[in-house]
Amino acid sequence: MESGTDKSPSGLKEYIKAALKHDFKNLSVISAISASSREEADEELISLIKTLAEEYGEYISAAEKIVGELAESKRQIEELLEYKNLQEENLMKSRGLYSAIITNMADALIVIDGDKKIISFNSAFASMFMLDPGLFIKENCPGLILGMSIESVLGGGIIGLVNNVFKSYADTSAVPDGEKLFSSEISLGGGRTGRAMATPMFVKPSAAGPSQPVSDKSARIFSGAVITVRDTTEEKETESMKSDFIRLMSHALKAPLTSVIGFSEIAHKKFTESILPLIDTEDKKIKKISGQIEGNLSIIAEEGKNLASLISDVLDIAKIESGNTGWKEENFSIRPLIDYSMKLTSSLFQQKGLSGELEIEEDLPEAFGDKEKYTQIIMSIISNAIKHSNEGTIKLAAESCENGIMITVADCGAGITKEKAEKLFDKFRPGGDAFSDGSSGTGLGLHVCSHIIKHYGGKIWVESEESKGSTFRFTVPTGFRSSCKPHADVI
Amino acid sequence: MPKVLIADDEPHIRLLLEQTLEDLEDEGLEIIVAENGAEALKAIKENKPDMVFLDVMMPKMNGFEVCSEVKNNLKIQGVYIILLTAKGQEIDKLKGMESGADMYMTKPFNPDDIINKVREIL
Repeated sequence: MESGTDKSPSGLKEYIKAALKHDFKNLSVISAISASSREEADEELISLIKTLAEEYGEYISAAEKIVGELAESKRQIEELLEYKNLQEENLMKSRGLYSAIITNMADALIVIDGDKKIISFNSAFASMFMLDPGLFIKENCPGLILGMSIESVLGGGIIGLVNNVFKSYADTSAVPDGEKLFSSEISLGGGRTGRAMATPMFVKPSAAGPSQPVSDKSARIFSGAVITVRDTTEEKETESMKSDFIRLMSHALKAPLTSVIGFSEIAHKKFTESILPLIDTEDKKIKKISGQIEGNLSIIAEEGKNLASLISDVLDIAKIESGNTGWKEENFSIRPLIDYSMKLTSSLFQQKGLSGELEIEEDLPEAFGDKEKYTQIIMSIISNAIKHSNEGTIKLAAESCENGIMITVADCGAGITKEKAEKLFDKFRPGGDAFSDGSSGTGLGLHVCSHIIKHYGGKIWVESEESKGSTFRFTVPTGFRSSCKPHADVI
Repeated sequence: MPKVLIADDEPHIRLLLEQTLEDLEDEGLEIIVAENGAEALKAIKENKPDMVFLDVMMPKMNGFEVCSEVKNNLKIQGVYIILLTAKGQEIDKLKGMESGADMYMTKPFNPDDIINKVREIL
């Protein structure tokens, strides 16, 4: 604090100065100019000026701090803006990528909400179903179809598929643990066919919008379905060609074999019944040759039969590998299959003078798979049991087990040695000598049976002892299952 | 005189069946042959055979169609139809049963089984 005399033009001659300090630095000076002399300035005024100087200093400090904080905030905002712009850019890129993927998908994609209204789709959807372009672009408004009920746009099989999804999942209190893939063959526009697959869509209960898929399965609300459709016209045509080829091969191979086996058997029979008795048995050479002819004709017939059996197995496997068999996924009761198989094989039982005994557990759960294929398997195993039994009873049982339902077919035949039993389900097992009675299997080969059973998650095995019969057992899965693995990776 | 119709488009199969059954001809069996489905249907209508060995894969009409026509539409009584085919899948047997066939035998067949079946039915 200083004071002095000044002769200003206004005539003011006294003043008081106080340093304005901030952060121990002199920033400025507060001056009080007075007409009074220093001596006349009272202490109160001086004190006021000192206080003012200190307060201004504090104000400047505070202002400077605020300016610093504002600068920091500005920097943070700029960083956030930069981050936001980057995120927006990434989001746009992702959207563009996903949009490009969805747009360029060969498969049609349709997403519907919980009211079955279309909320997303791609261009393949329009072209595959040959929909009216007016539904998509009208008065520069692409996506007019959005919000329309799928039932008002499509019909037929795809609606049935959607209804199945809603039937299974629309009741949120009963959402199954597993997510099932619903699949169906449907008709597309222009006489083409396709395979539609539908899966349920879930959102978080607290999600603001329906576009927030969740991974937490425990907190989910059914909110619609995602449907994809693949045009399978060409695949079906290829399958049809393969099927025709297999059918042709089956006929082309078996018809001449029938002649080979049949004529050799007739020749053998006529030779042994009509020619052999007339041959001079005293001539050793003639005797030897006639014996050889008889033996050779038997060999032709037996080898022909083995070849026929092998061809059947090859064709069955070819059918499976070509995808011609189709793998149905349905729930069914085992009991009618067993009854039906027993009915169809009844003539075989009669021919061999055998009896059948059934032991079916009451209230068996529903089996899962392709009931036609399981019918084939049951019939094949029963046929094998009959073939290898000459007397007694063939027992067929079905009971619940850990892996579903276990079906048992026990025969009273010659049985199989342990080492042969281990190879019984191998691909192209040697025909004719697997069983102790020297006979080969009939119907579906055991390898094919095994393949089908394994496809549906079951297993097949045999328990046997030579001369004590064989017991074949296999399991059939039960209850609800998600879609099976593709057949192509099984063989 | 009992009659058996053999219907198959394969000449060797027809010959095989004829030779298989020729012993029964001496016992009075009459054998009729047809080379396709339409011919088989005509022969069934005209000759009313007691038994028919009917191939499935034949030109003009397949065996399932001939069998269904005879059993379900014409309702010709007393004819025992055996579908005889290379199609060995059990599901094809089911189709055969649905068409009304009395029996389904797969190729290659055993000639003795053929003779035994004819003796059993006739």
